[in-house]
Amino acid sequence: MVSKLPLFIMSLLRPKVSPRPHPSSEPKSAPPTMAQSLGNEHTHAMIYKSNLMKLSQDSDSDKMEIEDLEDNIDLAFGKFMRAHKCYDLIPTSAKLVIFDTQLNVKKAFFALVYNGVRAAPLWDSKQQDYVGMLTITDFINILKMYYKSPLVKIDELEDHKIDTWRDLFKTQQKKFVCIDPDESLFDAVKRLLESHVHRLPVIEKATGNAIYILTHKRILRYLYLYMKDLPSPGFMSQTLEELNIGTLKNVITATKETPLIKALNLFVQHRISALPVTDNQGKIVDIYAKFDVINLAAEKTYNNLDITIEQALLHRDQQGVESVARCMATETLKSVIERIVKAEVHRLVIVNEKDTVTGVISLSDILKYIVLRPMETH
Amino acid sequence: MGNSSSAKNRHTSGDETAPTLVAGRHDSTSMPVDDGNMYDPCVYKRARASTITPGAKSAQTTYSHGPRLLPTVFKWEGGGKDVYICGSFNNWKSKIPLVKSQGDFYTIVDLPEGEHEYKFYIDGNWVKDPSEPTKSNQLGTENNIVRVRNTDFEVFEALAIDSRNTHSSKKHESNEGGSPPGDYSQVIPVKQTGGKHTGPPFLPPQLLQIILNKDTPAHVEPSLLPEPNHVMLNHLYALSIKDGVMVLSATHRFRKKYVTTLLYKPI
Repeated sequence: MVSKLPLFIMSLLRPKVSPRPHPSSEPKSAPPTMAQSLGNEHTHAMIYKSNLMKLSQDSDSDKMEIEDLEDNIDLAFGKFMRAHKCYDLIPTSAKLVIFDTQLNVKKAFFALVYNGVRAAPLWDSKQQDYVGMLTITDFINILKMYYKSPLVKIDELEDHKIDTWRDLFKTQQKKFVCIDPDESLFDAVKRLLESHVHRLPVIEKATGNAIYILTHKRILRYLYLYMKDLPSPGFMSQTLEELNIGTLKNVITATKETPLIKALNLFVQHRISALPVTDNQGKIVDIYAKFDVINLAAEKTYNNLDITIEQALLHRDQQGVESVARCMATETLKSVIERIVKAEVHRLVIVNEKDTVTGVISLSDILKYIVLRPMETH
Repeated sequence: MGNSSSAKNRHTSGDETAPTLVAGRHDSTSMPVDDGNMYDPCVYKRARASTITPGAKSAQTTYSHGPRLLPTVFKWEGGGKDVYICGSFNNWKSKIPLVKSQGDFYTIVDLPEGEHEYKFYIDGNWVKDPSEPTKSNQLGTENNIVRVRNTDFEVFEALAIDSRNTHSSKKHESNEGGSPPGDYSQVIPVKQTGGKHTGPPFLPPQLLQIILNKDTPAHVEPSLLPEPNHVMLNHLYALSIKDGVMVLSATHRFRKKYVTTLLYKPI
């Protein structure tokens, strides 16, 4: 069967791929230094810091930062993000998994598990373009839609191609959003938050090549690395309570006995990414996140979704209350950011002194508050 | 003549002060004298060495018209401070100093074909090299021996022809110098298809270092990869087709970053 290949493969077949001349100030032929190598993320970021002034000269917005901040320190993070490109956030060497839309959904999910990634851009050979993303949310939607009982095999999971699945969901499908590596991080944050997506593919406009998948986590970590060098806005030393960030009431929770299929329904219904698991008194005992669902594919246990959350969590190395990253509403935003970055999680469960769940604060909440909100209200 | 050309190369590229001796020299320690009476290219060579002596002239004349002189390397690995060599080739008359190089001592002596006896003179003592072949002499002691054969120097012959060609082409500023010998015509010769090269060419070893196959440390993001070697870029890797799915991968450079793309495609 002869079919078209995505651009990146096609470019291999050309005798010579000359790098596109680029308007940015960086030398395009410069080899990456050793310090930028993998596992040295911090050094990597520091290298960019030394280029900070040089980059600043490219954009007027950064000059404004220095002048304007006297009046409004709250804009510091937003302007920092506007002065940095998505390119800066791309790791020196990373892999990107891409699925052809003709691929079987089940095989696609296995491939996600096998590669340890959580999302993959979808390539449509007919349109010769990227058309969307396949994420864990799709897996949850499929399970939720077709699951009947542990005794009935989910045929749809076996038969469906990614394409068929996308056609079924056409009506509720979101527009495919992506970002160019030269667009600012501020635009990336804005697009992530406004489109309510968690994976933003970076696709170079000139070649159409996908380069990376941006996440809230990586953006906030990048900002965090520079935070101590940036002026600290007043809200950083205020508490979550005072600032009213995050979900502080009507938190959707589950118990250890909640059946898994119900948990999946809660994810979809309330558009949430994790369920704090509580005991009868509302005390935190664990957390079940969308990411944990991919384990069903890894262990091929998706045919029985009647199991309880407790059973579903048995696969995790760390279970119980210790595995839940928590904070209190009386803590400052600064310490909360530090904890969420260091724990490398997407959200912290807000608890009171008795470990009772009172809320949830996510990376989206934080980015919206510290980056987007000051820039938009100003 | 071939020998003399290679000897010249040694002189021009190597250490000018290194003693390069010709058999038949009687006194290598006397003052260097420019030998103005150069009637033989071989002798001309010698004139540039710092060891030429008037006394050697007659011997040189004999040798340059007689057998070819072959550069022979003598090496002493046994340590010491002042290392000399002496042998039948100079009638045991003069001591030729060896030059120290990274702990060992070396010299090159141009010798005629045949068997030569020699011995080292280390810090005032006569010593033989136990690792080299030896021979007893009339005095009841042992000397090292070396057999110099013309056939060992065929490579120098070839080098000499090469250097002569380049020299002549430089002189005449012609472009013919680099062309291999043989007939030239307008007809494309039929390629010889030997039985040896039937299979595909071997994969260069650097391409076997597949970054996707390397284990990433548990604490880092699973999508991160080691930095690729530049030779790995723009090569297409494929996973053997399994379960009707083909996986292709390629690593590209995007400015200063590397992107390794994996495409899953059903076939």
